[in-house]
Amino acid sequence: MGFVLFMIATLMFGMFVLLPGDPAASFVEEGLSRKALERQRELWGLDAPLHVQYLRYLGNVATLEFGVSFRAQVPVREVLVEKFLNSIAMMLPALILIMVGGTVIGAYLGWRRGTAVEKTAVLAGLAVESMPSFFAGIVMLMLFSYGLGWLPSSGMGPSGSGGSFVATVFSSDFPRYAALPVLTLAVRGVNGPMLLMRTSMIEIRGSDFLMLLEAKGVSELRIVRHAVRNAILPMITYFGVLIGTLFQGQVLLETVFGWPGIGRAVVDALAARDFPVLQGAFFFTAIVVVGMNLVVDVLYGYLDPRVRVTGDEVRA
Amino acid sequence: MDSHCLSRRSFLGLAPSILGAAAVPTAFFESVASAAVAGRPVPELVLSHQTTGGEPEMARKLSEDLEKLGLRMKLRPLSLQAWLDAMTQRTYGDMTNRVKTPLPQRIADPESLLFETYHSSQAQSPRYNFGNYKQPEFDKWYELQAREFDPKKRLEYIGRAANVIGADYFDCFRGNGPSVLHVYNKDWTGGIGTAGYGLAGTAFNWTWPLIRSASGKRRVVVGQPSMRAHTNPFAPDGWSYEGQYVFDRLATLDENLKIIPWALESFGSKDAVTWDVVLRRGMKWHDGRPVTVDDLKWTFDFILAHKPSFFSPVWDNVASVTVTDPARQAVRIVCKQPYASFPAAVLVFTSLYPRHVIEPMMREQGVSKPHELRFESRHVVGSGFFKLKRYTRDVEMVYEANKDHWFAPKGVDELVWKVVRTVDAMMGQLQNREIDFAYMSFTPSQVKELLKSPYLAVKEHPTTAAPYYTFRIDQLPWRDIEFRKAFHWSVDRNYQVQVMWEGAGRVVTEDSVFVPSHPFYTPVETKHGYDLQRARQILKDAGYTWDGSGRLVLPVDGDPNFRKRVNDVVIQYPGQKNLYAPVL
Repeated sequence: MGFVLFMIATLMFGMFVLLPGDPAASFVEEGLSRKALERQRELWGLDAPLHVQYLRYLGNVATLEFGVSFRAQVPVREVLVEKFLNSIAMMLPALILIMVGGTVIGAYLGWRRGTAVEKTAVLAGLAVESMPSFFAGIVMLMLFSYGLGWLPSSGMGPSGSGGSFVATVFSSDFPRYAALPVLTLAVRGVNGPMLLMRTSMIEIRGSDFLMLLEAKGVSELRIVRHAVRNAILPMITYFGVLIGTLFQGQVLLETVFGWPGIGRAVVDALAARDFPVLQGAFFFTAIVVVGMNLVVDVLYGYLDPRVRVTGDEVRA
Repeated sequence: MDSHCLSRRSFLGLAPSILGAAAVPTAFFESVASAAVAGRPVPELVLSHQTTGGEPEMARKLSEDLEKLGLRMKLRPLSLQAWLDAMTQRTYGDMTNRVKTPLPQRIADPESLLFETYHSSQAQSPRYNFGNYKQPEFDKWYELQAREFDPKKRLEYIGRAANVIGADYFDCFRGNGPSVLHVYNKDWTGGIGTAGYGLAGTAFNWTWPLIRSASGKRRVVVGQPSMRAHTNPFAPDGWSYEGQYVFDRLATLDENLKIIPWALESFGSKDAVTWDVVLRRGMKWHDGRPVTVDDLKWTFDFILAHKPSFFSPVWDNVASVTVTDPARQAVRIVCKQPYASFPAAVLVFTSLYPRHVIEPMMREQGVSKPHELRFESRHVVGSGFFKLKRYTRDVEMVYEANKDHWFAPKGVDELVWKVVRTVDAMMGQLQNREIDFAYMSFTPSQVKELLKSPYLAVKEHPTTAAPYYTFRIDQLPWRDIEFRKAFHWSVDRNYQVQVMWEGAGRVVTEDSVFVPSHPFYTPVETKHGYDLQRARQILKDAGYTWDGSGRLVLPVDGDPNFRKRVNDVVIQYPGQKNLYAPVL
């Protein structure tokens, strides 16, 4: 895992070196003299030879200190924590809706395979998922905000309300502000786990143990419960992938709904060539994704004894 | 070993190619720069353009028109960052688009615009004279205006400098626009727009202290697409616009872009290098302390000592600052060289900063460079007509009126700048009255849609922006003034204004660096229009021919007129190796 992270860190540094654009040029307004630009490069240490910049960068990575954001003028860690928390505030409710909704609907559709409900639901799910997220977001806005005026169109709270993250999230206004982005995300995202669960249920449905239960006269609800318990394993993997997505943020939705999350922050940082923030955000995301893969692998082995690696197998 | 696998040796052999790939952008652009040869067809002309503001469509139209003259073009759309790199490294090929928008801080003075873009000392990578234009005649007028304190004479010299550029057919201006169309909730009245920046801008905006709500609202919400990510006035972008509400500028611009004293009572020059300024009386910092002449002196000394990048270029010419009369709050600034643009470059650019806040901050935070200072809202103590109440990064900036200010807002208690990222969201929020003003210029068709709402109104202001094409005047075929002249007659400026800007702009017939809404505008005598027949005739008269396939061919090596025209340019580039065949 350490080697993977080292390679990711090195590749990221290389990518930023190759990226066209001078961070100083993004900040010092065009029209100011070249001297201002050179002075800024010097202040940011961008005038140092590449190998010196690389060693400094590796030092930062090792200590998880990515320096000071060029754009925000505060430590990168502070920017990332603030933006990740905002993203999580939107993604977590959506994630719960996606996983619970996807599992329940998928299990139902798998069990009722071949019915008109199943066919319609699969078609509708695919249609909604194929819709670009920004388009889905704009449709929701046109309908519920600009059209009916039921819900506010952007932000995490009313204009001028300010306050800390905790105060914002636990304010009475927050559910109204979060409703549209969360619903958009959930409606689009539910299709994946739904189809996965449906497929898994279809596979399980013909199993001998279910037929045995049926022969013993066990109620259908109890049989379904047994089926779901066995079909749910692939959802663990899916959950791991979704967590990774959570930490990447949702650039388009965050833009459409004016949500100050990590996705938008990364795009802003990219536009401004704010290398410290980009390096920090990408590295943190890499840690989460690699870490989640590890957790899912371990969890999978724990939940399903068939994929467990025993000591004997390792020695063999 | 699998034959498809690379051996270690062959992999190492690939290393130079892989490493070479790192240099692809530069090497690639270099290879496509035109290499024109006298007597041969003009090579494919490379136009590197940005992908925003309708540039791709204008590039397509230009390409279509030039094809009628027997020229072929290669269009290269670039992201902003890649375009900036290509410009500064001079790897943009033959020509590129640019928009001339004088900095608001210096809009009233042409100094930086003329110097950075046209002075011969800037005609090299990575400086901003992107076309590598070198013209001693221009340099002469530029230097004369820099030393001239009589405004009338200075304007005359600037006009002459502008006329030199026009007569040289250097930059090719495409229009003056698009106009600034700001839409707002008409419940608010009394706002005054600034030429070039409109009604709801952040630069030199007179609207916020003057507006009142007919329905009695005391809080105004303004949407803007993006926001500074910090409140440090010494950072590279200087928090330059919004910051002036908090930190009073020493001088500012009125709605007609004329310089007026602001935190100063008066300013004037004693001689070519000496400027006397007098601080306004009765000013207070937001924490209640009085603003003293020592604060003014300290501000100057602080900037001179630390040279933050935002200020350093304009302060480089300042030699010393002394308090000459503490009772009158008078300070004398002595410059190293004559500095005619001092009021615009230094006074309009510089704000007052509180010593009693900044110095303890530097000590407490243990930083030696002001751009590293961390400004929480409580640290943002100025003397301006708004106090910073709360700042939430990338979300909003909330100001409250400073009732102690001599220009205190009368109709507004709270001003909220809110980030609204997209045009759709901005329009939606204006329509459902989530925001009162939009700091975004809309197109005429968007305005038409917005005005369907009974709550909204629009105000139009002329812009100071002017898009243009610039070319590598140091290489063929652009070295030949007749080619440049023909090019100028091939650009459809009407298309720019009527189609791209939907009529919200002005068609230009001259290459004027300063547009009519700019205080330093002077008419340029050399006029042009859009006439492909005329362009063809200009080329024909200049010795250009067309080959069997209709491609434009450069005049032959022995053509004395061609030699002279090109030699005139070569003289300006004595150290440069000829880029084309004839030994001239």
